[in-house]
Amino acid sequence: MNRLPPRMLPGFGLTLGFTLTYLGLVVVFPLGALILQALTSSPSDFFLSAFHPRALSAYWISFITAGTAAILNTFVGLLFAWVLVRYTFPGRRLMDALIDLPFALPTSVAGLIYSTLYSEKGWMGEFIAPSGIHLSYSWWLTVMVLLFTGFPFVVRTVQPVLEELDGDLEEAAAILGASGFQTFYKVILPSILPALITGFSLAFARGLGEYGSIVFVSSNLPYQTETGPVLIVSRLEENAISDASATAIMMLIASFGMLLLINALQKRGQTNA
Amino acid sequence: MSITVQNVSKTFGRFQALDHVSIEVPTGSLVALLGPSGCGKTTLLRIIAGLEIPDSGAVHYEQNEVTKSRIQERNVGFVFQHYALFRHMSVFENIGFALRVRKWTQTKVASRVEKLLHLVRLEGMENRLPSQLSGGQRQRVALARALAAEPRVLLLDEPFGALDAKVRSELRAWLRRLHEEIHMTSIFVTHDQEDAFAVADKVVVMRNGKIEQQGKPIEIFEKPANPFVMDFLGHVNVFHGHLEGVIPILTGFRRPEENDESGEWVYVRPHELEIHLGQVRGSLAGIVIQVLPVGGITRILVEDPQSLTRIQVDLHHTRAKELAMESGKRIWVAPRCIRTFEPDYAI
Amino acid sequence: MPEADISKLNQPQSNANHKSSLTRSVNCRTDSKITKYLLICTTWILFSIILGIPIIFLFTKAFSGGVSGYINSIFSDKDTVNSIFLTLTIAPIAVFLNTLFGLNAAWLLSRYHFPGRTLILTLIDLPFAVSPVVTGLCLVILAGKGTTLGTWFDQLGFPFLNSTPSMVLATMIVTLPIIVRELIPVLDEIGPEQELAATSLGATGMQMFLRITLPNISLGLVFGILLCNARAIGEFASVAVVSGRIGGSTETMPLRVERLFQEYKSPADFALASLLALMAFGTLIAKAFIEKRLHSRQQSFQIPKAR
Repeated sequence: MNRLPPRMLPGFGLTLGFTLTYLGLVVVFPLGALILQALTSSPSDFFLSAFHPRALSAYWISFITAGTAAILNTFVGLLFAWVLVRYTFPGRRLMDALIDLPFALPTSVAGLIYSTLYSEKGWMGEFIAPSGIHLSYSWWLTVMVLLFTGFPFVVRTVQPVLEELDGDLEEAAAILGASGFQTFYKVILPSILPALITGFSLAFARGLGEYGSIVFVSSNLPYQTETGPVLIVSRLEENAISDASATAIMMLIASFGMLLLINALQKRGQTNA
Repeated sequence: MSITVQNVSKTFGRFQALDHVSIEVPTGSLVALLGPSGCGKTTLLRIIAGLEIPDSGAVHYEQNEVTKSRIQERNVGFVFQHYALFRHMSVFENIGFALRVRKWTQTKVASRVEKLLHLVRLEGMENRLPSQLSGGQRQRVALARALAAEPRVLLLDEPFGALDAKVRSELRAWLRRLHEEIHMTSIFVTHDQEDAFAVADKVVVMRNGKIEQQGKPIEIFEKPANPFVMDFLGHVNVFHGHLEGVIPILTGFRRPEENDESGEWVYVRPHELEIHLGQVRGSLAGIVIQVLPVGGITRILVEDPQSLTRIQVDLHHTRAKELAMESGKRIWVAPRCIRTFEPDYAI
Repeated sequence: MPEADISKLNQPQSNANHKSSLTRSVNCRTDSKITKYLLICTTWILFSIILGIPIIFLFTKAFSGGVSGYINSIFSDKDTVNSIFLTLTIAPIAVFLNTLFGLNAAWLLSRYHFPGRTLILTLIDLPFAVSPVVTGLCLVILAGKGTTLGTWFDQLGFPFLNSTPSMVLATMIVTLPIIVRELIPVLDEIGPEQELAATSLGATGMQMFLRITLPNISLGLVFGILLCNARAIGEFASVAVVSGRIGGSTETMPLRVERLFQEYKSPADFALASLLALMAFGTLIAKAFIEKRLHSRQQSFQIPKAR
């Protein structure tokens, strides 16, 4: 990338000053306050709240719902990207444009729709009720709504890579006698794997932090369907701020650890390729 | 305005881009910085422009030191390699930009731009966008834009780099004429020796951050300072040999495995070799393996049957016909003249 | 640090270039016809379940009382009208400030090489890695009741929590990376040559920015502003935490939707939600329009590269 020493173009001092001031006020101060709060509380209190059984179950539920949704998203997103890139069919442009809707639509709207749609009176709820499955307020519905908010991440990271993919490679593989499945598995998959992992991690991170839609679709019962963010909010409502911040710190550490892990995985994948 | 560069060095990380370089650019001259990519020529130009600051050394415009002053303060016209035309502005707005930011009135800008459009032969194009111009036209807009504020010096980074061969040679001739019209001190960077020799008053040949040779084109061409310059300016054959009195003697081909220190080398350009059908004094025997008519000459590849070394001989068409050159023919090559260099220089 | 990954959070939204797929003819590759139709059908079914049916359901529910019922359910409720005004106040302020920041930070990060660059990038990406709930919590800890800063604000007579400024700040933090992340690739792609040319021709910093930089990045900037605005309008968690959710005074549209839902006020909840959905559709349409412009511009201007 063509970046210059600060003196070559005017504006370095001004933009640096503005950026640092703004970041300081808007990001560093508030996050610093959280970390300071955690550091100044007594370690035993901190551990007590951070590893409270209710908190542990909330981490687990967050992890399992976000993880399940992210895995489903990876498959669904890959399918969408694949179909959109490789085939022409009626309605393709519309579908392609609407994929972005979950980015623009408030997640609370998605939550509202899903919770009603899958309730006994909703279209989907009525449809599946005879089978004896009740999705509403279970964590499966949380997974469903995270599917809605997360799958565009995978589509939009994989789509450009699939487009760039060299058609010659596939043709060469086919000429050499590879079956369709072998071509996909041996030629295409390795080249889109980094994008898939990125999309997965984006959807996962989004799912871990999601709140706006989950409050609608989940019963938010402690130990059963309460996720990390929901727990933080209810601790806040109880005015138990130190409990809330201990949980928040744990969630932060978890999501950073996850991102580091995925980063490392991706680096390894790249060096192997 | 004259420009003096004294002992300038510049490193990027561990890469030494310039190593104690000094050049003089006299007032009104047109100087070419010539060399292969990575030789430091562009860095030198950017240091002269003020786009880069040297680690050590000094740059003077006339008597004033400008080593550390910014490009805005130097009043230089700079033509960027890819022209850096303002994409969203018309040709007129591009050329007039320097005047507009200097708060010239609309009418004064218009008359100046008109003059410049005439100078670069783009009359009638003033409302086009850069995207609607050919490469050569863009280049001339960039030049007119650089000239608008009457800079003291004109600097051009690979001015012909992005053009195809035909446009390139036209622009070369045009740039030379333009320079004769305006006589502005100008420096340009190129990796193409034809660009340098067709346009410049003075050529500076660079390699690995150092100057190999500088001088008038004809001097450099006729008296290259070392094998690198000689090779860079065109194909050269290398032999074992020496002079006996005034008669050049070849004693053997340079085998591929022989390195530069292993003997006394003589350098002979393809057109300085003569082909004989029988042995003469100082000649070497070889087999013709290819005969190629190229432009005004016939290019003959000759192979040494023992070492399989190949050399190149350029003959005039008529001479080649006289000798009935064809592949497989056994012949002798002898030089009309040879060059030798100090042994510490080598290709 | 995980910044490389977090940094990509906004890319799927941003990558304007990938749209070329729609105009490019599809290579005939080796997939069989059956596979093809099977895959397309599966995709349509999934698309309907995930997106299509929910959206149709939303509008059907919203208009279940007819058009007059729809208008009535939104505009006869004073608190709902208030929430619309509040959202239309908060979002523009947050977006405006983030636009200023975005321009500054993107210029800084794309044009200069300096120590600490990566640190700044990481800090910018941080809000994407942090749950919005945690963002709200941070503000409560920083300036809530009983904290030094909070008490100071109370004494001034401007309590920080449950106020519009706190909601603006929460929205700003959550949407902070969007515009910067949108602009950096655009600025990188244009490169600094035109700006260097401008300064070499004697332009001042301001002249260079207004006449060269801004026109060149304008589409990317509008793009970023649109996305930032959509997120700002929809922000729920962080605003819920800092606002105190006082009906009629600190309820934004998404918060109001939830309140109506909890109070079983149907179809008013769906009506307001559909209004948010319409805004989202507006964003998508504007986005598609800009992408088209961007695409035609890219095609009309191809700089020849040397050698």
